[in-house]
Amino acid sequence: MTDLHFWLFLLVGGSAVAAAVGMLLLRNAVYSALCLIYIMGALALLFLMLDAPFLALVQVAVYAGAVMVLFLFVMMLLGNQAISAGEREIRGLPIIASIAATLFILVAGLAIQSGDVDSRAPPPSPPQLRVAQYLPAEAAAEGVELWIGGIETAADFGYGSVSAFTTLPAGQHTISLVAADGSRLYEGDVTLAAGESASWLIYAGEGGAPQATRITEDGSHVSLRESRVALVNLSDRPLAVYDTGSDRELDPARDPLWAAELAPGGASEKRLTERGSVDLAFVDLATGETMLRTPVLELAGGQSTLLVAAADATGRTVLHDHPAETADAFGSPAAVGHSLFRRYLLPFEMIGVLLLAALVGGIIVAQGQRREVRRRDVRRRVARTLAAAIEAQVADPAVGSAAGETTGAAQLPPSAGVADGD
Amino acid sequence: MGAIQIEHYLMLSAVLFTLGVLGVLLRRNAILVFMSVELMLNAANLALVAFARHWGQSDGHVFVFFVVTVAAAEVAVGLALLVTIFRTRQSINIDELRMMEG
Amino acid sequence: MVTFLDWAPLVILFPLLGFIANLFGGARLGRRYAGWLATGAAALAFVVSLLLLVALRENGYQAHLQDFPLLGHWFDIPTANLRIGWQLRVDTLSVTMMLVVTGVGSLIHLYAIGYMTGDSAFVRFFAYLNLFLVFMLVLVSANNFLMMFVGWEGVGLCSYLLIGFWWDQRGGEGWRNSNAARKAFIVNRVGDFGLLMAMFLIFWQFGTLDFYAPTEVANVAWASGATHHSADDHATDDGHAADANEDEHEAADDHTDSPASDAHGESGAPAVHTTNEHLATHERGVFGQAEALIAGELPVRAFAGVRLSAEGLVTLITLFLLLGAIGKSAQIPLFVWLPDAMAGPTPVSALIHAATMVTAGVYMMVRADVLFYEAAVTSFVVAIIGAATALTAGFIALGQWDIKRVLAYSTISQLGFMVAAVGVGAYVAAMFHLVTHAFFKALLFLGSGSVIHGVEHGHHHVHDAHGVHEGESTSHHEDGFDPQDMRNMGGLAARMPLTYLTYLIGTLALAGVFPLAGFWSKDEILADAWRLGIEKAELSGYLTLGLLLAAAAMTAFYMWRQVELVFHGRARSEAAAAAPESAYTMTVPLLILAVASVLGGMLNAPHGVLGLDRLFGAHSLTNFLEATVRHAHAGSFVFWLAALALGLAVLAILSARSIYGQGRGVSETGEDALQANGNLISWFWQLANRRLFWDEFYECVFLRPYQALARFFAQTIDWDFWHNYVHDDVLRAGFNAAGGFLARPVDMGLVDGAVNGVARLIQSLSARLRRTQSGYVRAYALALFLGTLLIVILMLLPLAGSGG
Repeated sequence: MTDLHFWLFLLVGGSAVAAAVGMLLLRNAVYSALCLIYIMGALALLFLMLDAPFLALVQVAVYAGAVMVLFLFVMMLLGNQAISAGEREIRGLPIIASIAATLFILVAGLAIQSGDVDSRAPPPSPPQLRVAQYLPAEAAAEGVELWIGGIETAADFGYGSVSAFTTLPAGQHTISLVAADGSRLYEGDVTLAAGESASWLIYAGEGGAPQATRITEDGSHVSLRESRVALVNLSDRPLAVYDTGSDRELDPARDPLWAAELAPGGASEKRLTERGSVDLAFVDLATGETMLRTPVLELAGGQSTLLVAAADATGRTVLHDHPAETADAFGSPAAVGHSLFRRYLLPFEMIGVLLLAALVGGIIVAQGQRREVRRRDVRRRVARTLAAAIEAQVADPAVGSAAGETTGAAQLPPSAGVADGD
Repeated sequence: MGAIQIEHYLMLSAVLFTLGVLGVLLRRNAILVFMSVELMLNAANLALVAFARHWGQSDGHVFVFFVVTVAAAEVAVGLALLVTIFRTRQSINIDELRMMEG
Repeated sequence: MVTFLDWAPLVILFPLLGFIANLFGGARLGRRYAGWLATGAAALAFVVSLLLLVALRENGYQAHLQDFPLLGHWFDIPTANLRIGWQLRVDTLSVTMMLVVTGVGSLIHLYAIGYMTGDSAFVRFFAYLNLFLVFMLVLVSANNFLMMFVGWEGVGLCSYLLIGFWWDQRGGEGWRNSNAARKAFIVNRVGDFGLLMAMFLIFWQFGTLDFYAPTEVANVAWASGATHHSADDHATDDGHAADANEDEHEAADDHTDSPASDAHGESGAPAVHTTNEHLATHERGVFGQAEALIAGELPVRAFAGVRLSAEGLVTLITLFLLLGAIGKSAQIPLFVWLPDAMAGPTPVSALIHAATMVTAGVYMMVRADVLFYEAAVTSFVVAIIGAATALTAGFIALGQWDIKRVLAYSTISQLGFMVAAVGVGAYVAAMFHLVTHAFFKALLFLGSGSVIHGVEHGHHHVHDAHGVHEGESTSHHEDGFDPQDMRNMGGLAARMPLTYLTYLIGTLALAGVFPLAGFWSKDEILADAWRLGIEKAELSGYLTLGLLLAAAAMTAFYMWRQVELVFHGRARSEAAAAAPESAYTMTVPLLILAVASVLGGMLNAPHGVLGLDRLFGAHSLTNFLEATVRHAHAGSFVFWLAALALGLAVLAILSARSIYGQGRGVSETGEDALQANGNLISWFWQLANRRLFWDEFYECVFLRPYQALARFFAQTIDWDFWHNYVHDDVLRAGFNAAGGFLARPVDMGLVDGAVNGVARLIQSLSARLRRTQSGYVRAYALALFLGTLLIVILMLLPLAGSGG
């Protein structure tokens, strides 16, 4: 792949440079425009290589398709001969320009080579945390408040609730569950580092004491055909998880094993499966007993799901699934769109206004000077005297009133008569 | 022959940019100047996309989006102006558009 | 009770008003009125003086102090204990002087109306004359030294103004006149220095400059009645013995009933003091304190660490006073200004340089008799100087050709008599001679003026036959005719009889011929000199007597010489032959003064001589002055001495007559009779003619070195060094150089260069920069690109350093 990429890059890039040089040197402006179109196409290819398909399309559609067309139209309007050829150059300009350009390239090259791009990585995004509670206790059933870092994040945080991902500053935070009567159901500290995304699951551990497991979430892009799944065992016995497939019989020998051994409070690796419905069986490793069956579990594409097996108030093992959104595919329209409409909404709107202004301005500018149209009554027009008609024909307002006095048409003495309307 | 590193893209971008600058400076045809400006913008777009890919952030794409939009608007207005000027002066030789002299 | 004494300020005020009127309104008044106005002012002053005399008489000759109206004190500094006021002292001495000044003064004013007719500066002359009267009267009526000094300087000023009156004459004459004026002023200044030093010492010692405190009695002995020279007092020798008794009685504080003290005690007027017991020593005036000092009651103040004895201090003071008198009264060695002062108009010579100003020195010494009486050394010096002056001046007088010069030296000689009288302690005699001398010397001067006038007239009459140029300086004519030269005169007795008669009287009076005024006054001086020699066995007495006798003989001789040369014989020039008598305005004063010269001696008629004392009262002047002059004593009449003097005078006249009579005075070659002999006498006469080379000596010893020094300072130091070098070369050239340097290289070069350079730089820069605004978009784009490149490089530099 790298080889291909490399040669492709070389080809495309080189041809783009050649086209640029051609654009510079070609005398015929249309040829130069064509060169530029080629460059844009090459750049679109490069965008594709850079995992920016959306932009590649935009490039082709807008740039090559609209802007360059506009250029060509204007060239058409102005005519080729309007494009002048060599006159006296500004003294010294080509030389200085060349030197400066060379210098620039050298400097840029130096900067690029010596610059440590990798070390200039953008700062990682702040950590995100969501909390889920599976406390079977009565008090934890309803009216529970979730406090993260001293901020009440959720109220009525009953059994099985999960909070949304909260962006927190990196560092240590205290998570606490407060019952309706004010008693602390749980309190624990979590330390988050930048770029992390984690889920904090609170369950009843050995002897009923609340415990918490930290699950690191992976929000990276999952294609729409796939789904990312992580299995969490919050029961008190080790479990194995089988995918029983479409039939409902569990065949430990043949059914794919999703997790070999899930210790109590443990989590499996994240795995990607096709989207669709799955039938999972949670088997107690010790007894071989099937603790939990998920007959039709819908796994949506493009999501990252956390499947949690936890004991509920009655002691049965229940499955909770907590999906999480995954990131858009890099370079996809979705990604760009999401950015545009979330983070860059204001600039987006401003660009819109700019486009509007440009539209209007372009129209007005291109419209040019319109000759003053003398609006007249038809009646008046017909009633004009010969002298007035001649004057209207002869006098050129663009030239000025002084011209009327000198050479040109015969000057009739200003006579009484029907005055011109304006 | 190694993997394409971002430096290559950046170099390419720099070269295209420089060629665009040279076009602005050396060509007298106003339309050609515009086109050279477009080339410069495109080179900048390339650099932006390269960086976006390098860091996995799509903010660069958004920036490119904006650049493209603005460039389009600019070209529209600029060419309209050019047409108007041509109407009066019958020439698009930017050396002749010296009203700001002195 | 308002008496005439309160009118004392008027005596100064009238002439002052006359001066102001003539000064500001004289031109409008016109000559006719200006002259009469001035004369009227002087006459009014004389009337007031008479009234003051009357008032004094009624007052019992008590001194009266009168504050000047409108003026308060001149100095009034309590912290410095300095109070000097404008106080008029009306006492017998000052009234004597006032009468002389105003009386003779008004006559001379009258004379001057005639003498100065036709002069272009007529009005100015009378303004100056009145001003002189003002100052002279201030001098004599002052009650303190400073006010007297004001008058002293003032008369010096007026003398200067009047001597140099014709300063604008052409042909170098103006220079001659102004030189004479300057000489008078400057020589007087030397004397004034002495007076000032005396004043400083007086003030230092006594703390005051007042003559007498308001209630102080000048002459205690007289006030207490110890001495009165009434008709029944056979006092010639006794008078002097009584003087001696006085001194003893004074100490014993003898209060006798004197008519003076009685009269006022009854009438309810303020009590008249007869002693000074009511005043503490430090409250008294200068002379009162001086007496205490001399008596040892007052300690001598140390001056700059030096403490003199009382006598030493008094001697020092009186020596300085003497210096002042020498200057003002033209004694040796400061007499040289008086002959030159004859350059002024004749009335000026008569008034100032005969009758009044020059006598101020004598007056001052008589006023300070308390001091002079005790300073034996000074008195000796005074007497010797006076006598020597008398003789020397007399000697010079007989060699002079100018009619006024003879009189000038005569004046000096007579002043010497007065000063000698002061030196021998004959204060009253000095005043007596002062008064009589005023009469006949003024008479002689006016007479000479009349003569000169007549000769002038005659000259013009003969030569020009057109308008007479009256009143102008008569000493220089285009044809070299000098109307003042006695060689051009002769035989004027017939032509100007009135002038001749009065002149004769004046001459005889001056010569001391019995019974004219000069006889009596001169004799009193001689008698007192003799008395001093005999009774006190003082050398100065004998010496003075001898010198004065010789001088008296000389006086008679040269005066008769003058009479012979001027009036007798034949006219030696056509001018003299044609000289007319003068106008009545000129001759009337002559007559009046002639009468005064005849009768003037009776002012102080000695006791028991020819019964004149019964007619006129004996020692009237002495009695009069005694109230003021502490050591006044009645002069005695020494018969044989008087006879000796008279004989000498007659002998001198006869010998002069024999030498100069019958027109023998001047030979054909214009030589004097004495000159022609070619022997020792001729040599002496030449010496006299050359004025003993005194002026030449001064010129050689004082003037030339002084002028050389002055010229050195003026030319070399002031002009060459300071002006040319320092000022012009160094300062001005340096300043100009500095200024030029600052202006051209610095200002124009540097500053302007910098400023203009900045402008030019900016212009060139902007011209160059302007080229960047080419209007070419591509050039702008290039500039943009270059700038961007630069920024990029700058941004990447630090990274390049660290990142490698």
